[in-house]
Amino acid sequence: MIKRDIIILDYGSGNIGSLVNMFRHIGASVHVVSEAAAIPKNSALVLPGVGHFGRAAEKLENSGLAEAVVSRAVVGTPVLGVCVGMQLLLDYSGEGNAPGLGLIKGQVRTFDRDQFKEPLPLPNVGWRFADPTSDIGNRLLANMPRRPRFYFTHGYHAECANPADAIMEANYGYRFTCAVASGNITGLQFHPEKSHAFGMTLLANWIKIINDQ
Amino acid sequence: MINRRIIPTLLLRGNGLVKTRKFADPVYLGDAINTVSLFNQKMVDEIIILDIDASKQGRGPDFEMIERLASQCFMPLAYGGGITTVTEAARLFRIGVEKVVLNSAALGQGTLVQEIAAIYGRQAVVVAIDVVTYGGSPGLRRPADGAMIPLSPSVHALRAQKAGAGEILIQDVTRDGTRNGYDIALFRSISDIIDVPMIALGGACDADDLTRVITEGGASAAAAGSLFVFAGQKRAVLVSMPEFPDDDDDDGWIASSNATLEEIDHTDTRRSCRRICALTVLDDTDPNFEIDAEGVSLLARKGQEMLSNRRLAGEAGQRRIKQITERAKAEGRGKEYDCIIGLSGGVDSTYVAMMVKELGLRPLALHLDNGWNSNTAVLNIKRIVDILDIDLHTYVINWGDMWDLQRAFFKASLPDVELITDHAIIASTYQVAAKHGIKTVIFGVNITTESIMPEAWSYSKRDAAHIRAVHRKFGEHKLTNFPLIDPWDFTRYQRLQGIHYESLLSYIDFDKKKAVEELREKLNYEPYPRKHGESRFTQFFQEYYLPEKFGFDKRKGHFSSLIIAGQMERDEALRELQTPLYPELLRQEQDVEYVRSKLGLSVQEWHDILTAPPASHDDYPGYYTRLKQLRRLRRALPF
Repeated sequence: MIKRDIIILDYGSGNIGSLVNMFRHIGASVHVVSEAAAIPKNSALVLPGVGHFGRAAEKLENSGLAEAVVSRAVVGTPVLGVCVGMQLLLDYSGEGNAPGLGLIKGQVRTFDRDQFKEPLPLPNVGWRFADPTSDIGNRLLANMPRRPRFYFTHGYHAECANPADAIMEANYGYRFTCAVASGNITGLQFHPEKSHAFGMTLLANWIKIINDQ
Repeated sequence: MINRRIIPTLLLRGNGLVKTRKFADPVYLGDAINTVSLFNQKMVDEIIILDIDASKQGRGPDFEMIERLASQCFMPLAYGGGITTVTEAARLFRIGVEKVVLNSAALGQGTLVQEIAAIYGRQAVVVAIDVVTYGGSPGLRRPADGAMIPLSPSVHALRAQKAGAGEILIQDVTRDGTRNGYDIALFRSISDIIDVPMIALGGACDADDLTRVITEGGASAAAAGSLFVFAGQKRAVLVSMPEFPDDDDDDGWIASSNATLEEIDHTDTRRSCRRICALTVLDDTDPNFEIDAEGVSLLARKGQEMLSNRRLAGEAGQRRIKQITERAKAEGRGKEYDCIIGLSGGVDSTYVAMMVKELGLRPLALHLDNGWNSNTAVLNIKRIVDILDIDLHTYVINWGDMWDLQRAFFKASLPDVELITDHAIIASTYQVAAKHGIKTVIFGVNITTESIMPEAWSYSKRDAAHIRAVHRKFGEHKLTNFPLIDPWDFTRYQRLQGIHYESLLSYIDFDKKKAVEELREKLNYEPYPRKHGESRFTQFFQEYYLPEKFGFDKRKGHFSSLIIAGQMERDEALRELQTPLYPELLRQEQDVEYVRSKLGLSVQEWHDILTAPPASHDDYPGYYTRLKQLRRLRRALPF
């Protein structure tokens, strides 16, 4: 059974509607919150985000939610970052040369076209397989109906300082880290809320994991 | 090949969808929500919805409609039409749209592309470009008035990319709706010079073509309309997705059911019963339940009688089928078709389709799209018409009419909401038969498996006056072209035009389980995971609405029919009735939510409908209720 409420943080960036829709669909109790004070006690936080990293970071800071996420995270509240929301979990991004929340060690960098084995358009848009590279990656990708694939749309990707924090890989031009995790913090570069049964299963797995923690 | 991104592209007009040819002559495809939900169940990669009237009418997006569509999309959704400000784009992103498609707004001097890309990222902006080719050279077309602009589409694409477009959608107007195949050279000429992903749209003819525009045309994604919404040479409306046999990416993965957080709920919510028929599983949940001295329900006795009187199995049945076949062939000589069959995608109608082909008849298959088709149904229909090589005609009911009628029946608190569709099937079949000069109408009804159904649970399917009466009281607008058939129409069709109605399944030993096996073998038929799986509405209606509001479990009628036909053991039926109608509570909630929101009922309105005291069809006028009154009157008279 679901114990924690899922709180989606609304700081003016990101597709809140799709996330709410998906969490509801899998039977979670989900709420959208735009003020730090309104975050209930026993909850799990979802940090969405699309677009420009620098702008998103600025909005998150100005909304007062950045501080709330960090203070909750350090006391063990589960946090899930999605897309730019994942990127914000890291130390720094080249997009806008801006700092992130520093909850995961590492940086966010643009796709390196020089390393591509063949010329490919950017941003990376479309469905790609995600392969687990760690135990937590395996647990998030458990019980999939088929080989898990997810919808990606991004031009930057994570580079973890600690290899153990990289939990899934995908391939676009080369293999890159597409999901990160460290303790109660999890981040997904792709959009589970737009990835059919694969996304539903992954989010349901995440909820199970955080309720077991 | 995972990089093959395939995108159905749907054109929105009001509440419905249309499909154009060369950007003109729109054909009505039915309700948008059901179509989007079907594509969602088919797990398409992505979907594009374009409102083709918004810009022309100088209005913004229909946010309410888009939000309802987005709620059915568990895949990326791009929307275009009437977007002129960042505020409108922001609202779209908030309600569940991933990408905005800009066409007119990207043509002028404005900076909307730059502004949206700066705030929401370039991945959120698709610039659509309408291309018309004259003698092999592409020209740029302005969507507002169709005028040609003296600018090369490639240059415009490059400018759009520079302005911040994350993807470029090239719409080939010349081949729109033709299914002549993509103009590979055109797409190649544009994909060669841009760095962002290009989506190709216009002319797709088959699965190979979709692959070709990606491998040879340099597209990142292949989009199409007609290919996914029409089937067969007659361009019948039917949602389908091509199957790619080489998509073999499942190795080593163990299948498991859909992710759910709820435990399976086995609580039995059905009301307890005191009396049950000794022969069948009918019980006193039927308000008219009566038993004879042997404890057998009178209705079961009636069913037994009907079976022995009217069912002709064995040789007599074969003779009857031969007669029907010969008559149909004789009357159909020189015509394109000699009979018309209904095709719902269910077992019975599919079996009839196979039978008529084996009998050497030339059928026209008629499918009624009432806006509630399930994915398995459209999948089966596609396979049936392809494998049996049958011409398909889809009769698309105006969703506005269907919406109004179903809401009216719910508000009237009536049990048989399904009679609206059943009536439309009868009416449309006669209409289409008359139009094509077809004399033989073959329905999939059969006496073997449908001999028993308590009268309180259903009402005559042939009563147009009843439908009008309920609509008059609770309907909200005038019906447009909903197919209705009155007694004088029947007379005209039957007496003047010589149309007659036949049922083939009553003349064979029709065994449903065996039939499914045979269809699987011969037609690659996909059995429905649950009963009534061909319609999302029927499922909800029989498994939720009737039991919840009226305490009726229609399975009791179906199982009882099978028991007296010798196709089911009573013990088995009783066991089966113990299993809950909805094995998963979450699934039930999803279905109820889908029906409620598709019919535009608020949570409160829906609650009121479920808790209102049940009404009887006899409370509303109609030909049949009047007939019953007359009979009662006749009985009361002393002479």
